Amino acid sequence: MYGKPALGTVVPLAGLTAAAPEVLPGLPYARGLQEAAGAGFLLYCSIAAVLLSLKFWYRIRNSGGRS
Amino acid sequence: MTDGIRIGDVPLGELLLWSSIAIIVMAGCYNTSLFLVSRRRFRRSRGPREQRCYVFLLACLNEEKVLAESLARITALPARNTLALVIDDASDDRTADIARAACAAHPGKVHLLQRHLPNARKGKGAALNAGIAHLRSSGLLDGRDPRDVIVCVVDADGRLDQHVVQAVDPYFDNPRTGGTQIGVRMYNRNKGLLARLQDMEFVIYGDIFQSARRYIGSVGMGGNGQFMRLAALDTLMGPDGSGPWSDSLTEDLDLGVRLIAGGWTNQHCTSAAVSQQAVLDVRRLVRQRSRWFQGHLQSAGLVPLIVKEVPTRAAVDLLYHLSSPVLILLTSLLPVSFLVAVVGTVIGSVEAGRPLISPMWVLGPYVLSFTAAYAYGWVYSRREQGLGLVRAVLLSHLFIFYGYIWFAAGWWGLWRMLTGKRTWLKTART
Repeated sequence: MYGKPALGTVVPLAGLTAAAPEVLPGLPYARGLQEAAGAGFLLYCSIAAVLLSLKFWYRIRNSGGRS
Repeated sequence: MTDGIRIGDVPLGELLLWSSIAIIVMAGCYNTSLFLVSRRRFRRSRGPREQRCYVFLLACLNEEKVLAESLARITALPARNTLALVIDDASDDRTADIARAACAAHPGKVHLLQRHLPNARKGKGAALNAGIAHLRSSGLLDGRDPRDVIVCVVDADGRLDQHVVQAVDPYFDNPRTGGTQIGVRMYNRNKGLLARLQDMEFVIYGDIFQSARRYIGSVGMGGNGQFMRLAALDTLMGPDGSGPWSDSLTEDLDLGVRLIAGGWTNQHCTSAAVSQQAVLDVRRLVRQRSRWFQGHLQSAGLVPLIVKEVPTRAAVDLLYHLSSPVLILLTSLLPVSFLVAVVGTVIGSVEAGRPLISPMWVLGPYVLSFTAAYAYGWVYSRREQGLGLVRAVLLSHLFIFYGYIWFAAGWWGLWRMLTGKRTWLKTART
């Protein structure tokens, strides 16, 4: 997808909360948004792991069939 | 809310925060890897040279503003054995008249297929399928070996480089080559910043991502400047006689994946390009990208085929490629999070009577967000010599923000998909 370069170049909140220890207005919402993205990514990784396992299973099965 | 829950010794909230950073790290590693791989010199495997026939398919719906110029360029190509087939998809304007005039001016070289409602306007894939069926039924390809017929899909606004056939032809010397995608440029890239950034987007996609994917075996096909061997297209015909293109909103992506799954090799040619018209309005651009995004989501149906049929290395890349819409939606939350945090800090600073901003607020996000801009700027400056490296790097900083258009487009595309909307107005020419 042409939008792929956009990935990896987004401004994150990473480390910024540590730089400002005071309780700032809006910060819980900012953290919540970032946590939602993180939760989604964990789900993404889980599905990716299943798909890759399936892929390797097919590969092993096919190479076994050829030998 | 999540701080009370712990996974081992780590609070869940902290785990999720770091997990979100992992998205950027993963995407950054992927982009860097492909940038490095794309710098390798690519060697084509060679085979016997054949005299090939090139057929240019132009699926047209109300293209009177741009069609004449495109046909003029195709008929002027310095190559023998070429023909153009204009597929008029029931246009309301003078598209068919322009095609007829070209047929009269170049007898035997330009042909017209007119489709009529209610069978017309079923999408680009359906129009292209009708074109392939017409090529067969009309006898235009009689006596030709499908292995030596190359079908090229060109948008009606597509302006092909004059040396395109000479550039693409050697890729088909390899009998395993099913398709070859050429570069895409914007011919109106000097008409403002938005057009320039679209040109940069396509150059970066072609020169980094597509070029690297030649080594992975996962080159994708685009809707414009897509050259395919007819014998390869024949292998994608449905059992009911339906044509090789699907009715997906991104039929090009779909076709490229199915070619790879069918055992064909897709190539990317960096030495020739097709130039198309950039969209000059942000709202229309977001709408166009929403359509692509929705098509990309539809392509999730290709996952079982990839898992079963595509070689492992290419499969891993294609799975990442097909899942990138999900990552775009997830990462879209991060700039919003950043913005909320910045606004909160400004308010907090005013209340505290002293600045609560540390240099890390600027440095950290800059390094994470804009390191890629230097690589992108360098790649673009090599294509656009007149621009210069410094200006290209500055421009690529804006390109990073331009990429955020995909976030808006992504949510719009998802919304349309969830609400069952599948019809789209095509992007109007200007």
